[in-house]
Amino acid sequence: MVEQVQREPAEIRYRDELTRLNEADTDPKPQGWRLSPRAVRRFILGDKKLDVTQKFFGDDPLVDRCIVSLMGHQGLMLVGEPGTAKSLLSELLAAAISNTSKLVVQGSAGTIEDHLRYGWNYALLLAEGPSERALVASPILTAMREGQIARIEELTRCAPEVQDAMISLMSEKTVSIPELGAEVESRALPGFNLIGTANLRDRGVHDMSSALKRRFNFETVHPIADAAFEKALIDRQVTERMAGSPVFPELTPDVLDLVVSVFRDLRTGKTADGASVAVPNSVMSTAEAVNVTHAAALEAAYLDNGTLTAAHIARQLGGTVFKDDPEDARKLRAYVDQIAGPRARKSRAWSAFHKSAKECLRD
Amino acid sequence: MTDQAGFEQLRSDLFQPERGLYVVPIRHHSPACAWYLKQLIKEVRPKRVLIEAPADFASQIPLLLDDATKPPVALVSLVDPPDGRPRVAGYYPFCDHSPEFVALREGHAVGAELRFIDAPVYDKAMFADPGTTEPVSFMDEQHFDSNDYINALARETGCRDGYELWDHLFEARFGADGWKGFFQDVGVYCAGIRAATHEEKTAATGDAQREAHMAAAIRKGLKAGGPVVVVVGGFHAPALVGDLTNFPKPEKSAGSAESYLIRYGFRALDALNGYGAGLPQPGYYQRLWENGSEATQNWRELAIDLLSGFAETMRADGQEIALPALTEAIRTAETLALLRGRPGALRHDLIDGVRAALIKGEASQSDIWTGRFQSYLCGDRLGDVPVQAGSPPLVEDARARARLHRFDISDSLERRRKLDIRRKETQLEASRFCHAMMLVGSGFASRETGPDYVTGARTELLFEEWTYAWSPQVEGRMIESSVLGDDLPTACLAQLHRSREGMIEEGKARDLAGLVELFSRGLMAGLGTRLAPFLDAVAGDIQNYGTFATVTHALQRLMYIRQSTGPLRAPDAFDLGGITDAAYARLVYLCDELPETGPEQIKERLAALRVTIEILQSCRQAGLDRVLLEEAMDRAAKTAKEPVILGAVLAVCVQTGLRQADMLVLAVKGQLSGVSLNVEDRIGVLRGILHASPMLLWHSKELLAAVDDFLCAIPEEDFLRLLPHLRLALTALNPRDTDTLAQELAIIHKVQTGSLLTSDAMPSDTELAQALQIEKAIRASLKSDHLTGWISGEAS
Repeated sequence: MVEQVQREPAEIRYRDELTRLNEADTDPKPQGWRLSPRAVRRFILGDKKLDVTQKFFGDDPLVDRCIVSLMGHQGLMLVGEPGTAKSLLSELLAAAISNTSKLVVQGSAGTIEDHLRYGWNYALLLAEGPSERALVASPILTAMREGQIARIEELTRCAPEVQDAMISLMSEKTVSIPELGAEVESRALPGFNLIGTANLRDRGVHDMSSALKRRFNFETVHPIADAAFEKALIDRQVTERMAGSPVFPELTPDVLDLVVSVFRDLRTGKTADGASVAVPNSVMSTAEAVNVTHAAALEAAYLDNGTLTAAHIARQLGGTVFKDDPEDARKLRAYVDQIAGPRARKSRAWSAFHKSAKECLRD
Repeated sequence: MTDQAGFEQLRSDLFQPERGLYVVPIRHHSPACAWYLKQLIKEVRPKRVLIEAPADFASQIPLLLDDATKPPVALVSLVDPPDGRPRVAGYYPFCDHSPEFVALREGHAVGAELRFIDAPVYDKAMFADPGTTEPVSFMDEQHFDSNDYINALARETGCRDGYELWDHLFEARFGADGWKGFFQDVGVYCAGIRAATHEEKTAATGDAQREAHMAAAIRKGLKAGGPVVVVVGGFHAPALVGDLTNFPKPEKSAGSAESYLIRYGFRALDALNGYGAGLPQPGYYQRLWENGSEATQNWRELAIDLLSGFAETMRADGQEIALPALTEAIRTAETLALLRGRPGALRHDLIDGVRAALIKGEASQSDIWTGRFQSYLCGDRLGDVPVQAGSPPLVEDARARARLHRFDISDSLERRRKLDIRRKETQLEASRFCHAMMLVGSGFASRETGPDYVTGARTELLFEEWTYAWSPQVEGRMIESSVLGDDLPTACLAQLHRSREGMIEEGKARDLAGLVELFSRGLMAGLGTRLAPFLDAVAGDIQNYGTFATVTHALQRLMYIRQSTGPLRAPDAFDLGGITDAAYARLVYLCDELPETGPEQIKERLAALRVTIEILQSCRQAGLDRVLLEEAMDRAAKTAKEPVILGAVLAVCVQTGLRQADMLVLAVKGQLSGVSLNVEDRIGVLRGILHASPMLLWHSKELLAAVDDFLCAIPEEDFLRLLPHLRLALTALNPRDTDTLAQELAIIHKVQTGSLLTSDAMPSDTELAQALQIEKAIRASLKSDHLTGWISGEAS
């Protein structure tokens, strides 16, 4: 019996879609690619004929550019605000191109060069001396040897000297292993490339050197620009998340409208009718909107009478998004008073939101 | 009939050799359409070529065919609408790759008769918004960009908008097919757009009426004998292939228009700015056209040419693009084209390539590299027209004057010029020319720095610095201004009259200072004595509408202009005496209204009374009879009731020596100690004095003493109620006045001005002791570090 896991890798989750795409794929494939670039595009942007769902929304040309970047010598660096589905996109690309999204280095302040090149199984190393068997290949080395896509999450969180190690890896596409002999090295097979994701805004991240930057093509993933589209997306993702739940409160259009406008107002600093709003430091991404709505739906389902209202949204907004920054709480209060207040007079959903948000902020 | 069947029918209907009719659906400025049209005309060798352009432009066809005509050029029309609304200008631009332009040249080459078949420009069908006064484009193409059909098709093909879709479907086929299949596909595409457009909209935008005109012209052409090639915007093609007798008889249009062929520029042609239509970034399509017009299209060469040209431009601007980055941009563009199923990198692929390869870091929605590349793709080419094209006399006149004053107008580059307007007469003349061009709203020159005599700001400066450029837009605007007159001074004068009428219409006729400002602008523009009729009109306005406040300010400006010796000087022959006298007489007359000042007039009249002092003082120099105004003020002082006005009038009288200061003291005392319902009334007179002439308060010791005594004597409670009003009254003082007043008060109360400061500002003994201790510690520390020599300034 297969154990249930919280989240399967993309190539397992979408195994059927990938199989269908592969069977129907007649376009030429670059060396080492499991699917043709067009099939990769269809996998990510959807294809009705093959019943392939759209997984990344809002910027089709960006997906094209990403695929084309991965066909070249440059790596692909995805940057942008948190919560804009950078990691999702990199996972989907890797799953479609190499049929595995598991070759991933999770960058952090604790990442060391061994995580990018190779380490050793010390028991074997002591017993047998350096040998292929004792070598522990990093995901990147594995990807090179197999001609696959490797991923590095949060590259800017790695220390500068670790980032530096990437430079020669990227240009030589080789890892030399002097411990195994003077001329032993692993050269990347065709199909190898790297997708990095990075956050250029957070405090406490390390800037990339220009030498490293030169080796990547940068793509910025923006928040979704179209409100109607964002609404549809939140609706679908919340429905997906609640799929396993025995109780699922209905997500009414008013509540959904309210969520989208609250998040958009606070993200862009401007309401749809042009009033300006103080932008909080907290991330007001679509992903957070989904989190808030999901949490509100859970609350309504399990702790309340099962009807999801704007009041639940208001309560979750405080806990999920506005975590501990007092300045942000002030900004939320200003928003609730000045924007939600007048709207509350005209709409029931806004009225519930306003009332509940005021109560939460009083604490 | 289903849409599908309708589309198939259209395919066979577009070209009907048996009927001698070839309807060619095009998109404006599309190089692919132009290329295929060229092949079609060469093969069909038509007797007649009918083009969708306003019929009354026909007289310009010989000029368009002239060898000296180098696109981009535009036909511009000054239209007098039939219903008597003001003139409107409209544009119809051509570039090398405009199918209409190619149709003209190629049609001419095969000896065909050339006709323009759209409704004339003055027909109301040509104006989507009939009330507009803004310049319009006679090439309306909104259908191509936002339409349900276009949006659905773009989604299906993975294109981001109508522009990319068009390139993907049609520009990509440049030079690859036969003309028949190509235009059939364009026809079906446009039929799809039309099918998704409501019929009411077609009627409302004037399309139906225009098609009636076109159908009538095609009928006539067919009767005269074919083959007839009809070049029309794709949207109209489906309507014109069938029975041409089904149309209503086109209405006769009553208006009239003058048209000219003018130079045009790519910046103005860009569909994304100004009133362009067709495709954005014309520089790109120009290269596409040049690259493929002779042989077949070599896409790789085009991509490399464009991107390396871009790199070169950037290098010249100091933005180096490294070779590997450039190679990556080309690779990305070409691979993207491959992925998207195109024969070579199209415009959007190139832009994507630049984005992917050159941006290193997080890009905002409008990043700088994409912006630079798009601006490069827009291009800056300027057209040329033959000498005999002529332009409206105003444009010729302005050009001649620009040359006379040594402005370089050989191209459209922006230049700077510094003018020494105080010492060199020729440079002053050049400055006057710039002012005149500003007055007619040409956008030719703008003043960067220099004195502004009109508002009196920074008049101590000797030099003016201008930036100027004779761009096609300037020429366009000058053509639009041609409605005003045939030479620059006449146009300026007409503009002044128009502005004055505009002010009257907006209900600002009483803004006499604004009118005098217009007059000053006319003087700056060198209109001199020609301004006499305008000045007469202003004099009339002063008599009819002048109020005490507006006349005072207008008179002050007029006296300033009259005494001016600089660039604002009126010519000797131009006597400003008449209007000054008239304004003065009006002012004297209006003084008698001062006693009946309503509360809403107090503020403006106070400000005016302050100016009155100035006028009184300079009456003699201006040759005005001072006694008249003095007497009027005296009368006002006797009868004024409103305390604030009374105070101000008295202040004027005392300040100009008309009355003794004790009058003031009496009035102030009376008001302060009198009974009044409102607290603020008690200090009303004081407020008036402070506004009109603050220094009177301390020049007259008795006055100050009276106010001081009053303030010392009133109960605390009354003082608090009075305080806000007192503060308001004292805001009329500037900081220096406040200081002087404080000193005077200090003398009265026998204290030092310094001692009026609160004692908190002085350090206490403990604080002093602490500071000394700290200093000691610092000295000790410096000494231990052997740094004493350093702080005492001794070099070691």
